Amino acid sequence: MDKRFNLSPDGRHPITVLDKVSLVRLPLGEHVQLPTIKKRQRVAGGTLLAQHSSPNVGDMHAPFDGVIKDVTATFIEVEYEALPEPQPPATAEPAEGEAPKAAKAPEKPVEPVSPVSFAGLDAIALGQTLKTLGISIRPFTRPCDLFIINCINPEPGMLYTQELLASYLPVVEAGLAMIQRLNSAPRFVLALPSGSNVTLEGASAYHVPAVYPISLARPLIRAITGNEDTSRVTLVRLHAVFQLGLVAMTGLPLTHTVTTAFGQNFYLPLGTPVSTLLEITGNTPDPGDSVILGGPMRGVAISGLRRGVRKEDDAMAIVKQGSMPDLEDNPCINCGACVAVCPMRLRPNMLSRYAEFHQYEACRKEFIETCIECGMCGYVCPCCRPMQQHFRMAKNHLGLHTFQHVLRQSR
Amino acid sequence: MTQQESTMTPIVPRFVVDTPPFMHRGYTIASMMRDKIIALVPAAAMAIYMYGIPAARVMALSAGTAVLAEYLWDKILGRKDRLYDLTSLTIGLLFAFLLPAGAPWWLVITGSAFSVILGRQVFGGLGCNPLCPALVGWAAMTVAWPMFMDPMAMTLQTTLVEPLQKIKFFGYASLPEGSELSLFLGQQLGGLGSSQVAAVLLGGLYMCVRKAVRWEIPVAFLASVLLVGGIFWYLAPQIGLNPATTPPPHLYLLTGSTMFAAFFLATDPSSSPVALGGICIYGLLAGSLLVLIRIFGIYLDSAPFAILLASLVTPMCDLVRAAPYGRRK
Ligand code: SF4
Ligand code: SF4
Repeated sequence: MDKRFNLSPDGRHPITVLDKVSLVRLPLGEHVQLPTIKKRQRVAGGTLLAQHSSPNVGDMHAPFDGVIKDVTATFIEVEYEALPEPQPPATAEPAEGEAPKAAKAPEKPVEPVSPVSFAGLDAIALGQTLKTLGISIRPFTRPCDLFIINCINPEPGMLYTQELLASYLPVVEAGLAMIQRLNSAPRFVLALPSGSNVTLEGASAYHVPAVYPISLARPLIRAITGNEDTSRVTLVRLHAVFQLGLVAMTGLPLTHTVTTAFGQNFYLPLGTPVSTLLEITGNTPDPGDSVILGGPMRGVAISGLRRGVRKEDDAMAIVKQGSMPDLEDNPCINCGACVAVCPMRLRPNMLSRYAEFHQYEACRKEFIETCIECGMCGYVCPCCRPMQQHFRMAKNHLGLHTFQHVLRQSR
Repeated sequence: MTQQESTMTPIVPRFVVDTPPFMHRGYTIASMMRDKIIALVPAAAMAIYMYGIPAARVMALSAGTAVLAEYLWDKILGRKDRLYDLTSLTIGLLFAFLLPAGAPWWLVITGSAFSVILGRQVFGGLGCNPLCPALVGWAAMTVAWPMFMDPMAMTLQTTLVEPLQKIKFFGYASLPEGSELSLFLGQQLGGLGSSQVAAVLLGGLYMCVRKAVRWEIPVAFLASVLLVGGIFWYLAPQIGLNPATTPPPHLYLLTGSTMFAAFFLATDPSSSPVALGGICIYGLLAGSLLVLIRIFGIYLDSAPFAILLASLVTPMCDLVRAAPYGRRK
């Protein structure tokens, strides 16, 4: 297979801790900001900023102490500012009634957020607590017979999984321990790239050759269980387990994440703008390039660099203009390359043609809901057809969830 | 005001917002056609070596006509032309390969234009042809001017043998001793490029390695020819065929345009099935037709017809599909 699909890159890619980020922009998505959050307000790191109406999706918190710079319909901006030293209670204050109160009101002390204890909570209460701490708990609580932690880099170009396992193993362990409290699955499996010698108490290791698209849920489940019934198997990414582990270890809200940005690994506050990461890594996209959030096979091209990192963003990259042939509105020549690579054994040639000509019901008959939008068909298509574009359009028309919906909901 | 605006608007680079994947194998239609043309070079060289300038003349005329035909067609219909992906050039060359070296110029031009226009453009252009375009031109010319398409009639004063005729009318024993090797090396009368068995095989293997064609198609087709040819050879006495004119299976591969059809005609993407199951049926059908027409038909070189007929059932072959993920019984 293509060397570019190797998901287990050689060498070390240490995770740089970014503690000097001074401004974050937290994308709200479907979160609703708290009415109490106002511009110019002081917040402590971990302060609840916005909530999600679903009990399965984690809430949103300030990543560090600072001041709310801006609140819009789409994001909340927080600028770092150390909390003022707690003022000793003004003892020498003359008892003059109103005056001290008026002076004190704007400087209402901001209490640092204190950790939550998980001791003694049952699975349901634990889930509710974790949601308020920013964890999207659905995948962890899903009842199943087999629980798989996917420790393979999800897409080409991502480098963080082996580093998390090498340098942050205790966090991952804490995450696993927490999952075992939330989920009563009889079996836990770590899916590792072949050659890895990581072991974790409480989960058996399973090695697979790390070649994309094995890192995606259904191909990996097939590789591990040997069959294609996914109804009683739950699979989560190491990325999510790591985030759960951070919360489990500290009892504090989720404020940081790990991401592979422009070829380097970072541990950074949520909401760190893409532009900041570009500066740090010394990259400048030129006009005509694409900047993508996520991996090169399933990611999203963004139109502006002010966008902040979300919990699920585990990678970003620049795609240089001319590094691949342009997508074109070419007809399918029926070469069969896509049929040969589709991991779901679909017929992307027929699917994309039906979608192209708005035959959405025919797409359903071709099992479009089975498509995992892995991008393999678009990668090989010699006609450079916009395959995913067609599939997403068809799925939208059929009321099926696209990969982006699924991603948003599972977090 | 403009001054104000330009100072107000920060200069932001404009990014391209496309859909994933943001990686591509880098192998496009143009690369595919380039590989096909490269694969045709050995046979073209052999043709020129054997037939001299007339062969070069036919190839150049046919290729040029094909490109011009596509250009004019798109121009007249006001479509954007796609000459850059070299598909019409490839069609022109493939058509030329099926012609005798002495084909008259008007036949070359008519046939080549026919291939591009009736073989493909009328169906909507690239990717829409139900049959291999070069074969459409070939079939039309064969039916209209059989005399001029016949290598025997068009190549006078030659020492080359026409093996198919010998086999059919004099029995395969009439071929000179040890003729397999010379047949393999293209020492036979036939289409100017299509009878260069060894050179075509070389080019074909190159295309398979480069994934310009699906290797399963030539394999399925050639294996079927061997299989069906073998059955007939073995059973000839029992079923009342003349054993002398029923050649052993390998002779099917070494004579006429069988090899050329396997690698260059049967693999035309639009007119061949996509998945393995369909490819096997298609190969078996084309292979059987080839043997049947050679034994029972009036056309000596049956390979083009076999492919043409098999292409007609491609849509049916494509109905054979693997059950998608999670739906296997
Ligand atoms: S994106 Fe293409 S290759 Fe991947 S599952 Fe969907 S149809 Fe198959
Ligand atoms: S790879 Fe592209 S051109 Fe080939 S069959 Fe698939 S969609 Fe058609």
